[in-house]
Parts: sequence; C-alpha cells; structure tokens
Amino acid sequence: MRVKSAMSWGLGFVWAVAALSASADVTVAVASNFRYPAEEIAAQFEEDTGTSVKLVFGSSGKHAAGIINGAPFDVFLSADTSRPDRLDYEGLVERRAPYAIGRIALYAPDQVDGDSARALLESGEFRKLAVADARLAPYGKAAMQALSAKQLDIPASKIVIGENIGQTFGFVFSGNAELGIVALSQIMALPEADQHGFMVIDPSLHDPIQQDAVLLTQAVSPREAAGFFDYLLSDATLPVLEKFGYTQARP
Amino acid sequence: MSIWEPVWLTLRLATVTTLCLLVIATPTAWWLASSRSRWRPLVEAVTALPLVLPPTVLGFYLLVLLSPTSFVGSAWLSITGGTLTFSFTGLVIASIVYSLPFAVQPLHTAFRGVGQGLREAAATLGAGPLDRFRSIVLPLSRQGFLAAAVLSFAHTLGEFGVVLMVGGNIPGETRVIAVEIYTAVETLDYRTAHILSAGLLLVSLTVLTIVYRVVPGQSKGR
Repeated sequence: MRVKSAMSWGLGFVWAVAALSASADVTVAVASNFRYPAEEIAAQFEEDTGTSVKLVFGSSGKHAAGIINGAPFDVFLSADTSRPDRLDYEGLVERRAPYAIGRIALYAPDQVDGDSARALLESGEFRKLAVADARLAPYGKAAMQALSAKQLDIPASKIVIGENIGQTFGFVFSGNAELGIVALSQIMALPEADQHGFMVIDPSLHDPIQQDAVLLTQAVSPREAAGFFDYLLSDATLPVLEKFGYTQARP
Repeated sequence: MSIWEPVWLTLRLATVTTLCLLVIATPTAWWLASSRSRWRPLVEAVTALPLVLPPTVLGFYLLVLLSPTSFVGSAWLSITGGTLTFSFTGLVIASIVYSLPFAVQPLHTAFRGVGQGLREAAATLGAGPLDRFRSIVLPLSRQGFLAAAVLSFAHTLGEFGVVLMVGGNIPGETRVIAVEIYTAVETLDYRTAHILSAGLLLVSLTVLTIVYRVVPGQSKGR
C-alpha cells in the first residue's frame, strides 16, 4: 500500500515537472552580466510571438561546460567570444553572431560623481579596488587593460579579485571595497537613486568586450529557438541594449 | 605564480584557526557537557549550525557583518586601519565559524566521557575546580583534544565557499589552495589543479588515518 502511494506520488511529481518544463518553449543560457536586459528582451519576445522563454543565469564558463555535457539549452548568450569558440570546436554551433558590446565603468558608490571616483582612483587614497579575475572574466581582462593603458600601477595588496563580474560588483555594492571596475550594465540596473559615483571607461583603452550568442545544434525546439535568436539580433532590442549600457554589435 | 604561496597560506590559516578554536571550543564544550541550563540545546544547536548551513550562507553573512559599513567592520577599521574582509584576519574569523563543530563536538564527547564520579571524588578530597580540570579532566580527554585539533585543521585546509565570498583572492593574503584549484580548473590549467588536489587529498587522508588510529571510534564531527 505504502509502496503504491509512493509510486503514484512519484509519478505525479514527474508529471508536474514535465508539465512545467513543457510550458517553456525556448530555454536560454545567459551570462550573468546580461541578466536584466535578457529579462526585458524575453518579455518583449513573449509578448510579440506568444512563445515563452525560460532564462538560466550563470557564468559563461559553467554554461559552456554544461552545454558540452548535454545541458538542454536552445540558445546561449555568452559574455565573451572564447566560450562560443570552444563550442564551435566541439561542433555544437548551429549559428553564431555578436549580440552586444559591453562597456566597463569605474564605480565608487560613496562618491557624488564620476570625476571624484576617478580622482579617488588616481590618488591611490583607497583601501581596496575590486576587479574581476582577468583569467576568468572578459570584463576583468578589460579592466586590467584599462588600468595599464592609464599607467595606473596599483599595488597587488590593494586589488581584490572577484571570481566573476557579479561578485566583483557585490564587493563594491556591499561597501567592502570603496571602488571597483564593473560592467556598466550592472550600474544601469540599479535604482536611479543609486546611479552616481561612476564613470564610463573609454572603450579605446581596452579590447572590445564582444558578447556572442549561439544557436545550439542540440536545441530541443529549433524553430522557436531560431525565432528568438533572430529577434535578439533585430533592431527591436536596441532600446533595451542602450538602456543597460550596451551597444549593439553589427556583424 | 608560485604553487607554494597558496600552500603556505593555507597551512598558516589552518594552524592559527586550530589554535584559536581550541581556546574557544574548550570552555564551550565544557559548559555543554556540564551545564543543566535550558539554553543548552540551543547553544549546542548553534555550535553545530556550520555543519548543515551551506558555506554560501556563512560567507554572505560574514560579508555583510565584516564590511567596513557595519559596526564590527568599522570598529576594526578605526582600530587597525585595515578591512576585515579581504584580509587574513577575516579569513581566520570565517574559518573559526566554519570549523567550530569539528572542535566542539570531539571535546564535548570527551568531557562527557570523563563522568561525574571521578570529579566528585576529587572534590571530596579537597581539589578545587581548576585543579580538578587540570589533573583529571585534561589527561582523560587527551584524545578528544587531539581529534578536535586535527579535524579542525583538516577541515580548514579544504575551506572554499566562505573564502571565495569574503577573501577577495589576494595572493599571499587570502588566496588559499581550494580557491587556487577552482581557478586552475576554470582556466583549464589541469596540471596545477592536479598537483594541488592530489596534495590536499594525500594530506587529508594521512591526517584522518592518524586520527582514527589514535582515537578509535572518533567519527567525523561527532
């Protein structure tokens, strides 16, 4: 009797999971830095087409590792071009295109404006500057390039390294580091009242942070996935990209 | 990037943490073993919390609690001029919390095993409380102390989640072995990952084998 009821509960659970997963037509793996624009783009796409989109956030590296091991994603929005390169090498790429160019910003939440944030960085009168790990995150690499282009030689003891751009932003936002080099999109996602003390870093000081999208060969629903992929690259997403401090990449 | 830097740092962290834990856990475990207070179950639960809470929870609270904008963090900043997060001291505090059950539980078990009878006999012979503790309890709980020290040390060696959240990955200051392994794997540097992982594995295995030889029946964290 107990076994029977456990079985029916189990079946019910499996059915519920299946029903829930069937309700999403396109599953998109999204790099953490693109979370907020992706949410708005997905909502627009759902409204326009009636196709529902399920977003999964995480680091590009972990998404790529998951996809190589058969994770059930249709589309992958990477934070860089090297992970899509790797997927290309593995033969998992159906189509691929740049969908956004990221920008970095110097951010010091305690400062009134960008100039004082910049003065703080140049004076060296701070305890900690947070940057993302250049070995793991393209935004971190760009940050280090910009620092050396400006010939700012900050001692290693003053730099704290976030594992990714999300953690780096957290170090600054929680007040543990007075300033940091973060993604502009992270500042743009803050409430208006908190958007001060930042300065967009001149893109000529670092390699462009090109973010590539991949339509995966293993897509479960290829037709809807292709629809979302095209939508992402269309002009319909321009206002959202601009709002969050990205520029659209023209292939 | 020398492979020895994170190794020395981790050994230093584990040593300092173990010493601090013995000082903190001994009176705590003694109180747990001898008190009849109604708060005892709650205190015991609190000391066991790090066993069940994910390191991310500990890391998140420590990030908030130790931040220069908080009371603790700002007090520390005004006294020492440095922050608690992203510092060796901060990691020691984090590790004390993280490894607390591994020090308290073996001592608690050992103190309970000493029993009331011997202590009462000593009291009737005129031994004061400190004398009773030194000449009866300590020698009889030697194995408990060894287990507490070794388990705390080994547990701190492998600490990862908490450090990742409050450490800031500073070479020579907070970049411990586990974080270095993580970065090595993420950047496909499997050689470094293999060397450090195998080293950690061998050290942990050796240490635990010694504990189980010297202290029979001492299972992890109980």
